[in-house]
Amino acid sequence: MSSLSYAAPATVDEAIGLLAGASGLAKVLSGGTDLLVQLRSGRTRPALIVDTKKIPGIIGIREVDGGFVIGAATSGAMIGEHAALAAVYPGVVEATNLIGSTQVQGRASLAGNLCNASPAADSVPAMIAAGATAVIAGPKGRRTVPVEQVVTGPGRTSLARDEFIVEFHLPKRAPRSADAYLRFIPRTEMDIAVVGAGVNVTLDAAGVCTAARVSLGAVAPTALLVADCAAALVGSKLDEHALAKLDLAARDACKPIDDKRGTIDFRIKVAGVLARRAAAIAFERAAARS
Amino acid sequence: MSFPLSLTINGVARNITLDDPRVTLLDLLRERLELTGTKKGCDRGQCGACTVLLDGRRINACLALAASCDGATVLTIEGVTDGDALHPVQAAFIAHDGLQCGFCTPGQIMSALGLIDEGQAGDDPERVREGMSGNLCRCGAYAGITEAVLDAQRRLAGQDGRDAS
Amino acid sequence: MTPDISLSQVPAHARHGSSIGRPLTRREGVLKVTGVARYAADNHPAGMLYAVLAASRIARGRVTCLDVPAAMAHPGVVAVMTPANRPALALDPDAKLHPFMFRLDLLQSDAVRYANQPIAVVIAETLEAATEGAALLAPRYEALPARVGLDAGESFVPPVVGVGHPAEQLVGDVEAGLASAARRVDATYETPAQYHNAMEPHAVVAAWDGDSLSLDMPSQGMAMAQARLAGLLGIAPENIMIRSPFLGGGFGSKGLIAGPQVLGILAARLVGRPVKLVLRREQMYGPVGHRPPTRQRLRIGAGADGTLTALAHHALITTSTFDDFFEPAADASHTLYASPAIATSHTAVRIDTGTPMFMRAPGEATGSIALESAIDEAALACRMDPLAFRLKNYAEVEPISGKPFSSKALRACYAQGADRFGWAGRPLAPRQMRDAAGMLVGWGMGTATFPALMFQAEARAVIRRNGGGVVEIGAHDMGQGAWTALAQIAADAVGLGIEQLEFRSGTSDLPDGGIAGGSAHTATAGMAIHAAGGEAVARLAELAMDDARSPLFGAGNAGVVARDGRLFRRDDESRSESYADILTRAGLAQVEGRGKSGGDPAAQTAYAMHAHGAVFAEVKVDPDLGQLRVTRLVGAFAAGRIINPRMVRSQYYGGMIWGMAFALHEEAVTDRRSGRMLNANLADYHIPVNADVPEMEALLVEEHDPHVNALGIKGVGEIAITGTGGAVANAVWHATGMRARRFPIRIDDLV
Repeated sequence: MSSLSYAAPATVDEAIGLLAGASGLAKVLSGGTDLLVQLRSGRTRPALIVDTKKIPGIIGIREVDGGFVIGAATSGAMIGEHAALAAVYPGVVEATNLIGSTQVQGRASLAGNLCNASPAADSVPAMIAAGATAVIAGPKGRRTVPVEQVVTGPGRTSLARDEFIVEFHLPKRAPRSADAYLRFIPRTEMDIAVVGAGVNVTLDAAGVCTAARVSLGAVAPTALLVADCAAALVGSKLDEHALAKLDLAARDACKPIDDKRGTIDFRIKVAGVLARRAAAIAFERAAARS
Repeated sequence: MSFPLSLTINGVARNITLDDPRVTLLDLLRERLELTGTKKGCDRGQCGACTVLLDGRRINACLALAASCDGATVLTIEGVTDGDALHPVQAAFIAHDGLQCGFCTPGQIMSALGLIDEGQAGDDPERVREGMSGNLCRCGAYAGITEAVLDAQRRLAGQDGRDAS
Repeated sequence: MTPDISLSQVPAHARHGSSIGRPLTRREGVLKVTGVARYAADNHPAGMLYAVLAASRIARGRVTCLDVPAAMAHPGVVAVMTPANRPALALDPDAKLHPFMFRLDLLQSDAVRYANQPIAVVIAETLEAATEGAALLAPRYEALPARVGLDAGESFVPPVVGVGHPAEQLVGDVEAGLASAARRVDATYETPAQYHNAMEPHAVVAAWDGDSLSLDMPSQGMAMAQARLAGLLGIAPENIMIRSPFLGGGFGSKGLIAGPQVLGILAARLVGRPVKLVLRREQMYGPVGHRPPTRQRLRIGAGADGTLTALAHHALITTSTFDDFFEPAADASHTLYASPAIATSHTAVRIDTGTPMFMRAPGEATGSIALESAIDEAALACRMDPLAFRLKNYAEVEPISGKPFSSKALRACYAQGADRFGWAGRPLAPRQMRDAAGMLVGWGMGTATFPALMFQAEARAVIRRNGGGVVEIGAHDMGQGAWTALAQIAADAVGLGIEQLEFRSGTSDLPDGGIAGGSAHTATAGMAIHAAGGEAVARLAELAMDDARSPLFGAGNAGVVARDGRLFRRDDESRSESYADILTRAGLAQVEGRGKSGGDPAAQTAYAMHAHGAVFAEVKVDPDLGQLRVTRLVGAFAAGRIINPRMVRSQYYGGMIWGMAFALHEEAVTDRRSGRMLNANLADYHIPVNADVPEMEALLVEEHDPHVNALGIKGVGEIAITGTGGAVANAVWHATGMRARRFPIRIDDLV
């Protein structure tokens, strides 16, 4: 009846085989919320859809070695409901809770949000700030890459056509560590980020920042990991001087576009403000986790 | 190519043979199973008119391939009423005039059921508004919708013997 | 929670036993909350096929190639309808025999005159096959440069604006008034194109039987649709049956039959089977109307004491290249503020767009946001409180015509709204208020107004011997509550409790209920029902008064009153008789009455007829991000007799949300090169979500109007958009000091 084929493999190897053997464009379905929209708009016209949801372990969250393993097709709703994850990685969870509506989160997955490769994807800056890695399966086995290396440009990833993400790892936390994610949207809910900022910090017993990761979304072709922002925070107790340095570093990192949602100047300004505010939340949370 | 599907819809187990992988859960319900209470407003997950509960969670039925829902349990607006008695959420929507044209209403009610079950909003109108923001209402019945959800939630909590305040 | 004060008020005009004025819940509510209510696209006649439109990706030029063989080769595709094989029409779709006959795109040629114009229809066994077939057509085009925006071409003065009003109107000497003014405002405001975006996409399920046509189709005007179709198809109107029991929203876009709906009907004709055609959301941005963009210049002069000396309002608007709809934006300045000199004028530019159309408060909404902003600027120029300034220039007679108002409780609206909002003590200067979280707080207000219109309608009423009654009218419920409000009027009209009444509506085989538009449906259909019921009751009364066995015998000039299934002597209510007894004795199963309604020309000549209101808004603005939230909206509206306060409140809320969206959210963005819309979807075209909506209150201000119609009804469906947009914009100024001159207000303008 259709020019489109659909397969729901039961194993990772079967999925890789299907992707490798596809005669035309093959698309991986993990949550499907972006893929279905693209199918509907005609932006993508695949010959094959490989639905990964039937692969054991691809949906679910496990605590491993003090960290977390999140299956690639785990829905945003399941992530939002995971109390242990929310306690340790509140920024990742709050970012995931911002993907579309609650209904969209009922299907949408971290892998989809990442591999759709939109600069404005909400979960991505939070995952980058958290130091998350992606486990990518392919014909040659599995490789683990930092999340910030997955997306190479709008709509483009570093995955080969016969590869797909099977899970994400969030590392074990040092004491007094926490993250936060903030985004700016014009509408109160249900909108695409004009700017997103994820901040992840570790403090020492005196409240001085010993490690930090800061990531910005929607201000460049891909989500950015901004080393200068991290450097602004490390060694500080988040005083006004550190905040000013952070703000400046965030602005300097931005290479945004001008569009209906926000001008270049506006996005740059917002990036600085959001980085400050997200840092303040992350510091407060980290201090509370002593 | 055909796809055998097992779905439990509104408590009824159904074995369906699908002849086309492109069929969404929404179009399966509306065009092939005569369950037209679930509405199509945008077909892109942007309006929420097609909200159903899939394995107890609210989703946009337009964003799920039917084939991908094999083995799932689906609750649609047609399955909410208990015999002739309206569900408290349905009754509250009428009492608070949480509807005008009614087209978004089945989705609003399914979303409200999901929201109440998630238990995250509490008795806070602000959080109810946030949690119901995946369901557009062009008529602008939001005030009544929020009141209806809060009212129904209180009544349901009372039924469960929990503190209704 | 919003206190439910309005619902507990018993209107002073409510009489014993009356259904009018009661806050009944929606009579069709159970159908809607259970999913049983059947909207057009929910129908599925046996043998039905699916039709999907292919729409143009260019805005101007022609289609050079459609790959029909590729589409036909796709499994399940039954037919492809193109200009080459579209069934013949009895009337050229480009014919314009009267001003309300709008030109339709029915595949009459390969020409493209706007983006998203239908260029073919694919008909298939399944929706999926039809959708794929439409994609496989892979149209090729010869594109011409698109003409986009308000500066795309030479402007001209349209022959008329709106529903036939003069494009230019003038009283007094505006230039002299401006010259003599101590304070002047000269400000230009821009409003964007907006799209109706009813939640229910336009749909039709069409089935032919010979030359008879059966349609499930949302319609705000079934009789007009019938007539239009009869002309196009060359069949008799009575051969066309339209069922439109529920519309999933209309807002003007379903007032006239839309081209794609006609294409669905033609597709059914082509394949000889029933066909369902539903527009995809993105296809609703083109062939089904929109509110055009405007650029409005307001010039206001005032004396040192704040008294207006002149008000000039010019609107530049766009329309399509091939038809005439002219948004009467400047007419908003005709009624609200007293001024010795008023000039309103319109010019228009033709661009490559679908023809604009009536959209909830057409002209009133666009004009109001500019006028109310400019009035706020004028108040500031005079260093006056915005409410005091409006009261200073309160119009005791309609400024443009000099006519007295049939009723006008606007002072009460101002007073009650200001009191409930807590307007007193508002600082005059901006940026004076902050909340505990450091957010800038601003308060603004606007005046609301909308004309009280009457169209034409017919109804039929029957009173039965068994004590029941039937009232029939082909009216339209698009969410405003016709099923309930009209039944309330009907119950009173035949003197029965609403539970004893069967109210039939929503199909074209019933008496013509007119059009659900112009906020006039309750008044128009209601008056037809009132008249029909009155005639049925009069028949009963004749039977009784002429019969010596009746306690009402000889009531004569004193007359009778109908209530609860009985007639009572007006001068002695202890003497009464039941309908059942009257009809039984007369040996009749039932009596019937028919009624018509329409405006009263004498009253319309003598009086200006408008509803009024006052809206107060509070906004909070994040000083660092410019992020803006409306936190409170209070509206007070006077609109004559209120049939159902619960549903009226909902109409006001809906209107206020639309007004807020006008100020902050809605905007269609067109690509200047291609002429294609960049945000033809509900993610990028922003309509408010639940979390955008603030605490709202709508006060129902008592008003009695003896002139608009016998029931004293004005409209409530559109008025609340007006005033609200301006109130929000003025509150943004008060919070930030930034005066919005283009809408929607851009957050980056606030930082």
